[in-house]
Amino acid sequence: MSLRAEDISYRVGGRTLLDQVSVEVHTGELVTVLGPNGAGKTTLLKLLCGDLRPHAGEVVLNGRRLRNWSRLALAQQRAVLPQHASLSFPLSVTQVVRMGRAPYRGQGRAVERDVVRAAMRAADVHHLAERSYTQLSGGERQRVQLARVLAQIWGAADARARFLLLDEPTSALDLAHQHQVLSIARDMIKRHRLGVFAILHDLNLASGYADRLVLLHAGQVVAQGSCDQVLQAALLEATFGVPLHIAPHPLLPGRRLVVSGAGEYSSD
Amino acid sequence: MNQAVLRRPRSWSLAEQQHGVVGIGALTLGLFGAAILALGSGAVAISPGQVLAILAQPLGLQLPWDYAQGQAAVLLQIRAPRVLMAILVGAALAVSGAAMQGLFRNPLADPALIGVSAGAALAAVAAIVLGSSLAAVVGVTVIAGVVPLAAFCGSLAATLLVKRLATTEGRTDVATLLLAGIAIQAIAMAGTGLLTYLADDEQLRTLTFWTLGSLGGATWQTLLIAAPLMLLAIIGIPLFAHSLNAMLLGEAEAGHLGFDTQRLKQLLVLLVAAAVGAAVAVSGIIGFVGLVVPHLLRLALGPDHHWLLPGSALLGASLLLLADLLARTLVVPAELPIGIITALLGGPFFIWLLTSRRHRMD
Amino acid sequence: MLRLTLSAAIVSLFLAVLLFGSMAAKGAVDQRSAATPATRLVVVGGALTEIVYVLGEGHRVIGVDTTSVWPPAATQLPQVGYQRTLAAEGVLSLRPDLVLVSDDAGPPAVLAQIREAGVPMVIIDTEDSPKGLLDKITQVAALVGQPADGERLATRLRAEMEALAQQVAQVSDRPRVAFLLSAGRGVNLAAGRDTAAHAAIELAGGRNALADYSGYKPVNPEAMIAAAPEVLMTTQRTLDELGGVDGLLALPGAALTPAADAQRIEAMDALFLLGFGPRTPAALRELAARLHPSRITLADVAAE
Repeated sequence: MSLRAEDISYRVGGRTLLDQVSVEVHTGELVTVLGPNGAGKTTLLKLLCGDLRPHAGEVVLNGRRLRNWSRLALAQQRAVLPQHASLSFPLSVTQVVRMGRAPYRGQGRAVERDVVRAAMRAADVHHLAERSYTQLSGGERQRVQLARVLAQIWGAADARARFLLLDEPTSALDLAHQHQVLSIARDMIKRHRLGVFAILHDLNLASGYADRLVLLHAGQVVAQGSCDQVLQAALLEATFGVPLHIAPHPLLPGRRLVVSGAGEYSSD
Repeated sequence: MNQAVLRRPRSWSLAEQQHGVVGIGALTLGLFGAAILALGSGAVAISPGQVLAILAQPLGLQLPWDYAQGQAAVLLQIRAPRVLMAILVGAALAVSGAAMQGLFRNPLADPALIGVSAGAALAAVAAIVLGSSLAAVVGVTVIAGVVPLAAFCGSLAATLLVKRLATTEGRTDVATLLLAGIAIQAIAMAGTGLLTYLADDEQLRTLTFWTLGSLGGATWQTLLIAAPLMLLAIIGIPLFAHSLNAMLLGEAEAGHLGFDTQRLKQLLVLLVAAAVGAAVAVSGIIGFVGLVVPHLLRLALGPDHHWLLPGSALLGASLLLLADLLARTLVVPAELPIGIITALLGGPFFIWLLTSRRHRMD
Repeated sequence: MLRLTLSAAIVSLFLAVLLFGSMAAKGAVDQRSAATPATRLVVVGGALTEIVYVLGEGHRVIGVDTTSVWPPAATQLPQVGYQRTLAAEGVLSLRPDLVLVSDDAGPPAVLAQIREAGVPMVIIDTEDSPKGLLDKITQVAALVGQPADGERLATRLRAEMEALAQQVAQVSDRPRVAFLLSAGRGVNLAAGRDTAAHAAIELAGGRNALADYSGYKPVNPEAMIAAAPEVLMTTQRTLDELGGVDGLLALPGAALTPAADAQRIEAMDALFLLGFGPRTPAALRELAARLHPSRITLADVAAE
């Protein structure tokens, strides 16, 4: 079971934002996409979730072309965590999480309550249940949104093929919350065999949590594979245009640590 | 720890539900009270007992209150259609305002933002000022229904134009919709200003009606014409409560949850344009109801559209009923434009809202 | 502090301008001597135009405003716009040697500009009463060099009105009349006190049923019924726009009045009836004849 982009291209005006990109996320793994600003990461995510349609190529979910999925069936198999949630009305946390159940109308109050409760516990926001969303901190809001998208794919029709797309889920968060969100994602992968596709900016977060990495530059895939394959100094320097040093991770075997720009200061 | 966690979520659903049910119940009672008060007050004295007796008469009930035939005629032919008109116009304006605020995810939005009122006003003023000269040229007698008809067409035309400007490749952009609405509003107001400049004394006096509103023209006939369009919105818009709740998260987010946001936008804009167009056609431009009522209810019932939309309809109806009661009784035998009263009540409330919001942010 | 001083200065400057403007407008009403009658006359105000023409001096008029719709010859002249929204350049472009305006004319700043451009201007009071009418005639006649004709016209009109007043005085029942200036556009404007319609109704032997307020205001339909008018009056234009008597009776409240029961709906031309010009005595007699069909007749005019 997978979410797959097959040679997709996307253009705006005369500019090609994505050029024959192929990526794949399987259930049970976390794939992160890396790349400098303007590389096409967000465009790729929008194409994968169906917000945009590719000009060439296809996005395929569980063997069926994305455009052949009904809106509702699609909403039950994949959820999207936005980069910034723009909710400015004082809904309670429970109300926000409950919206994740929208694709399952008519399923009954009891099921809804159980799922909402479980999703809130998974995202560690159950203690905020009755608080107003607008009064929460940035980190709490992001976790509430995470609980909402978890609730959305919790009781999917096909429980073996659920996907979560995360658009820079950690960009507004402090260090502790960055790790919290990604550990929740990992935990969900382990327990429910979700497939997760995440855009990340922090190379070390990606190195620490991802099963596979995709490196995107100017609309093209430069490299994809394991940490060892992608996190290579020459490749990253060419992509980001910054001197980088790579070292083995001191705690996680097989993972790598990336240090940026250190050489410049020490040499002067 | 675990127990506390378990106990808490069980209460929320019920608490919210009870809150909403109690709120809607209170608003319904309030509307009934306002309707009885409005039916029982006016330039011609009719006591509450007589009101009941007159209303019970067609049902074959003989109640122990005597009344004159003239009183029955006033109640049934003048007051009753006007009370119903106030209820429908108030409900339509308020529910449309709530829908627009949800759609634009902006608590300060109202139907005027998509050009509805400005378009209606321009067309109505044009019909008043140019109507007689046009009739002289074409040689057709201007009938009384032309102005309301023009107002309705104007509101639809302005809204469709705004929507078209904001739609590219079949997708309507909410931000552009708002900006296009403001632009069309400005152009329509310039046109209205130009026509006002051309108007003579008598026409100017009539124009006041279109800029400040009045329910003085309500008859069973106008009610029958305008009611279906307003009812469509009053009953139809609350059916979108679920979608509007999802829209609060953001348009893309609602789409990811499986909602057809494009269809939602189009349907809501059309429902609002038709209802507000019909309301403006029969009652002129009545400000602040669409803005203030949903706002007030959001403070009382929260932003959940399942309660907010029917609640807005009920409160909008009650408020307009009371405002019209003041409009037609304060300066008897003349009448005040109802827009003066809604603005006098709505303006200070709005200022309070703005300042209290700022305090909360500090 | 500085801001306070500044705003105070702006406010006082604004007040000074206002004060000066209004003084300039009111201050100098040129009185032109009858010895040199104007030959290029711009007239603003329907009744004034009528008077000039009735005195046989229509040839002197080179421009009128939009309210001057009688006699038909006047409508062929160059237009200077609506009387309350005059433009100085439009008036000056006609090179008038006298501008005759009613006291409804404006805006004041434009009147001041015309006067500052060196064009004499006379503002005529327009009181809606027999005396007001006669004063208007005397003033206008002097300005167009026909004081004697003016005197004769005034005498004749005074006699007509006095004759009517005598007949009206003998009528015991004075019907209650509600006058709708405009209707059917969602709001019905009815004449209260201090209106030309009120004056005309009273002079023609009726009573204004809605004399509780002043000016033209939206009337409450129930209050209209409570006022129990025996006659509903409107302008011919309004009746036409409503599509006739049936349209008028479809207005909220209209059908429940005694006037509707008795089918007493009257319509007259607005300028003819409400203008308080030289045709007013005839208009008042016509109205009186309609209000008292068995007592006063139009033929009485010829009998004078």
